[in-house]
Amino acid sequence: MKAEAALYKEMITEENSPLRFTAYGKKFSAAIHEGRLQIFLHSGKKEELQTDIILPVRALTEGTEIALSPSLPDKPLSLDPARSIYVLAGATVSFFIPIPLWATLTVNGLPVKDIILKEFSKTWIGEVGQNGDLGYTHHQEPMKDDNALLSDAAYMEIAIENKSRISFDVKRLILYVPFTALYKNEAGYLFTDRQKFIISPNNKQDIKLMRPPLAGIETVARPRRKASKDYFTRFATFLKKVTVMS
Amino acid sequence: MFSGFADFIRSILTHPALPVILRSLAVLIGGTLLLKVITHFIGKRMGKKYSPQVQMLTRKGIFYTGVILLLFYVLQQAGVKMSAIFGAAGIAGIAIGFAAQTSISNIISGIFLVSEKPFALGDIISVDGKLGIVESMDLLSIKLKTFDNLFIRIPNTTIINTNVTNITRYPLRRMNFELNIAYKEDLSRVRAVLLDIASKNPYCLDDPAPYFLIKEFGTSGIALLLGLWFEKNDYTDLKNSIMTEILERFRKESIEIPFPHISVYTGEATKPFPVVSQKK
Repeated sequence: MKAEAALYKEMITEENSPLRFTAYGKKFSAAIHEGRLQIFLHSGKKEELQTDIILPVRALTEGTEIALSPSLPDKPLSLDPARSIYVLAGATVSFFIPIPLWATLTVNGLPVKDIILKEFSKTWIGEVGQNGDLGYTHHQEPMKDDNALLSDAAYMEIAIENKSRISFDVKRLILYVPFTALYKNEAGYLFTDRQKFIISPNNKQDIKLMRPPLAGIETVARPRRKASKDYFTRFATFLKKVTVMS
Repeated sequence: MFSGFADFIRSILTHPALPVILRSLAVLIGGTLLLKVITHFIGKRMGKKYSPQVQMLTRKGIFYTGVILLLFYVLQQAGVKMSAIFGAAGIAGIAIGFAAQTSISNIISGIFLVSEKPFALGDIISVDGKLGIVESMDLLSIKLKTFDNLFIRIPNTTIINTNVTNITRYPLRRMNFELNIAYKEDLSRVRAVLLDIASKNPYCLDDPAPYFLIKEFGTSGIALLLGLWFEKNDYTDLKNSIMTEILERFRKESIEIPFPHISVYTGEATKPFPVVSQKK
């Protein structure tokens, strides 16, 4: 998705409300009534209240700026492709995954809430009922070409480097979306950090999030979470559990 | 009258025991303040490494041991013979021990609870059928707040001697729904419908996958079990939404949930007893 299309800004006062606008292909309305700002997301006949806040007096007289900016989902995504990804011994496989965007609603520059533009079903990443993290299931096929990506998503480049002597049939991959920033490239398209899975010669697995070189790119949203020291090591073992050696 | 009062004050100020009393008071007040500072500092140092219960026990243990030592010191300064005190304390200890058997048992159980850590503050536990959130874990008892806002105090010995269920220990839980369907229903279709309901419910996890079991051929219908995994905080949302969805979908798909009924036969295995209603 182009960054320009993903950024919406508007001033709203009590006089011009309700304000109806379209962003991210969705219909919104915003209204100030008796000192409260209400923003609704309309889908079909349903309207869902996104926020209801009491505005400060100054905002009422001078106007309130509402903005929607692109953000990434708040939990890791469990990529469940219909066909597993086969990685030959000694080979490196690269592909792109579209990451559906959410939007962050800011009022007068202060973030108010995430607007969930794409609902995911929840899943558990880790040992059943024990250590792990809650994530979302992302049914998406890997893409070889970043030009073919969907219009309402940012792209994430994935690389699986298999340094071992066995081939792997990867059935599930965890995309660490909350730990990556969102960037805009020179052409204005949104993308994330590159995620690399490395399978070492002794079959140990490691995950790396690689930040792009800073020239020509702009950070649109910073990472939501900072990974603890053992986070990726812990989850690398889960990757091991979901891969099937051929 | 005024001179009498002045004499009284003078006699106090010149009393040989005054320095001892003043020193003892200074030791007691200063020592208690110092103990407070030390326990506060220790509490801070323990920080997030130790549970609040361990912190509380350590702080109280240090404070009360310090207070006892201070008292001994003050008594010694006052010229009280410690051997006599210890002798009396021994006898008193036996008497108090008998009187405070339950309390001591609770304290010891409390120490076991802290070391065993079956639950922590904020956990939801069930003890003897009483369900609530652990609000505090003290030396003698734990305090629960039930969901209908009742306060329950459970002695530590009871906790040690009873089965305790910690409902929120693990991040995930499985909710089991027991359903009955009529014998005429196609089991594979019912299974597909139930799994479809689960896959569309936002609170039900995709992985671990829902569990489906044909439990038994019951008296009124076929008993099924649907086990759905969810994040522990989503209990109410999942329960309410899935019950509604199952009922609505079963109605839409014309899947019958049977109620208990009895067929009466008159000797023939296939034909039930005929019941005919006749209007006059």
